[in-house]
Amino acid sequence: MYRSLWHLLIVQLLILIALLLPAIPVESEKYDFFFVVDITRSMNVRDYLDVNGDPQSRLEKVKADLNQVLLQLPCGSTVGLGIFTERMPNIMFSPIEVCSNYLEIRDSIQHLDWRMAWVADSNIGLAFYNTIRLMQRLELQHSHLVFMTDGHEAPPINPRYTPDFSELMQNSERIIKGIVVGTGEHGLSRIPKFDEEGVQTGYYTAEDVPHQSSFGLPEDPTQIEGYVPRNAPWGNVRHDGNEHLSNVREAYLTGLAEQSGFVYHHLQSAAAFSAALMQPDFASTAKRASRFNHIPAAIALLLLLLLYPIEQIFRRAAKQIHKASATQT
Amino acid sequence: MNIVFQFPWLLALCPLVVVPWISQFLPERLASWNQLVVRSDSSKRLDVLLRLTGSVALLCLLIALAGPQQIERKLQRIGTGAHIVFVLDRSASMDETFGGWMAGDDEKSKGAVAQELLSSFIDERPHDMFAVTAFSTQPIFVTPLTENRTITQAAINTMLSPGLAFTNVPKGLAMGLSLFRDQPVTGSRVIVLVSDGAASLDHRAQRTLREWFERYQVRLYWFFLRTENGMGITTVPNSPREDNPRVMPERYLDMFFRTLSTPYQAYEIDTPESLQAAIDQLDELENRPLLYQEIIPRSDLSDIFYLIALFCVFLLSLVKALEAK
Repeated sequence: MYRSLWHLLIVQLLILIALLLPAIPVESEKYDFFFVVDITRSMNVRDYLDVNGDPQSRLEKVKADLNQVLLQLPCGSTVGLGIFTERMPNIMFSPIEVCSNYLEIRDSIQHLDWRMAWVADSNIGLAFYNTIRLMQRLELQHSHLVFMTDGHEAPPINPRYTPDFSELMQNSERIIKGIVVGTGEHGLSRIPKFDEEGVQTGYYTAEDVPHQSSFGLPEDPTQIEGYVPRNAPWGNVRHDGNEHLSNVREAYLTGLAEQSGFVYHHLQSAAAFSAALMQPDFASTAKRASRFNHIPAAIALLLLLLLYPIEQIFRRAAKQIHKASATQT
Repeated sequence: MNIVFQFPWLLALCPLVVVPWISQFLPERLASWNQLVVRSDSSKRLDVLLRLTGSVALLCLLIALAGPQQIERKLQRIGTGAHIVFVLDRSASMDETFGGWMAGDDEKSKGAVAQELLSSFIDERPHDMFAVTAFSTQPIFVTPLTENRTITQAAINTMLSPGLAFTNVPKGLAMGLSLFRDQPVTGSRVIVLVSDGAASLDHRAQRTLREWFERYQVRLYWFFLRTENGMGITTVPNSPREDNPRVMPERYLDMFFRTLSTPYQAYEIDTPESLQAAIDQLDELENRPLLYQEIIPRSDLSDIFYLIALFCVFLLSLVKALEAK
């Protein structure tokens, strides 16, 4: 049988199988994410470093790392994009397949800009709440939410009016899983201030921003210094604080994540971010048609090589060496 | 022809093609005297041919295994169509129905109706390029001008999320116009403004918009989604006192659009049916010759190499079958 006609016929058969083998659906992992990015002003804080070691704003960092994630996600995964400012999320596009639409998705992410913000305040708790509600929509139903923010509320919120996540989670028709991604460093940094044309004119100072909530009614008026029920329900004393400086409010964000059953991740590197996203928790299996024709083809190649006797090759080589040594002496 | 390989490292095995030249798959026969075997030219040629066939078979199998792929190509074609930029109003009032009520189960919001009809419009126009921009208080870049329908459809879905804030038409239009900046002029260029309100334009905005519409040669379609009993484009003022852009922004925006040097059409839409009629008319009007790019997706070339390899091995087996026993 060895090196006989049969040998060649088997090689032919294997190549024929490689040619005709249809694509077989196999289970493979895929991920479905809906990214919602904070575009409020604190996202302009430059407390990250880009690849060249230059300061990079939180928003730019998010854009760069999202692009890396797009390249990491296996084909068949879907990605949608949204933005939020104040308390409302806005769908940019509903989730679509990542590989075949990569260029357009990348373009859309590149264009994210803080100047798209239709309102200037940040109310992250409510924005998160509204985004989870939005996730009930048909178009977003199969996706996991990735909520990216620095957690800097501006103006500070009144804890009395925080939304009730446990009720929302109980009433929702399906369990929404996701991840809260904290952006920014732990140390405080200044928030850049821009004019109408987008040119930086300086930084926010302590006088520019309120340092304490003055929304609604205080929880416990007796605690407030200078409380006058009608004229000064939040006290008549000036408050100083650090609200004009920004860092990632991790305690607040982990709190939000805990209430809603989300995971928290602090954005540091694109690799760690990708790893945090590509968790078994967020994976689902999809059938993807794959071709396995390389297996019979590889065997065919090996058999075809074996057709040529190895001894001959060695004999030939030995002869060459012999010849060479003969001419030398 | 741009060919890429899935596993280019496999090509490092290419030196294996010399194997048939230093070895022979037909068994050696002993001859009592070399002179008895005729060293004819034809047998020499046959020998070279056999070794070559073996080499080619090996090479083709190797190449096929390395996964050769023709990368995505773009072919220029001429068809009819347009470059269409949607400028979508995302103001809070888009959540209401045409009757001015909260959208419920029985009646859809203006945004949802517009989304549905635009979506079917996109499906009906095969050669058009679409871009989506949105605006409320500020303009929002959503997707670039592209042939890719999937992302355009996905972006139209933005109309389904709750409305945001106010209606800042000039900024939205400026964003829409800016998308034509680096595009080649071919076919018709169209901006479809879908809004349910208007805003007054200051002189600076008016000048910029007028200039850009002319420079980029863009035709404007305004689908004004009018709320029942609300102010319309053609509403005539009751008294001269009311005749100003603050009270009647729709009327004044329309008057400004009429002064543009490029063609302009306004459609006042107060029912889902009238929106369909307006879209049909746009479909009819915007059919100029257009250079468009047909995308031929990435294709697998390995089958060709498998075929060549199969043929070569078939030749070898023929020779083997004819071998003298």
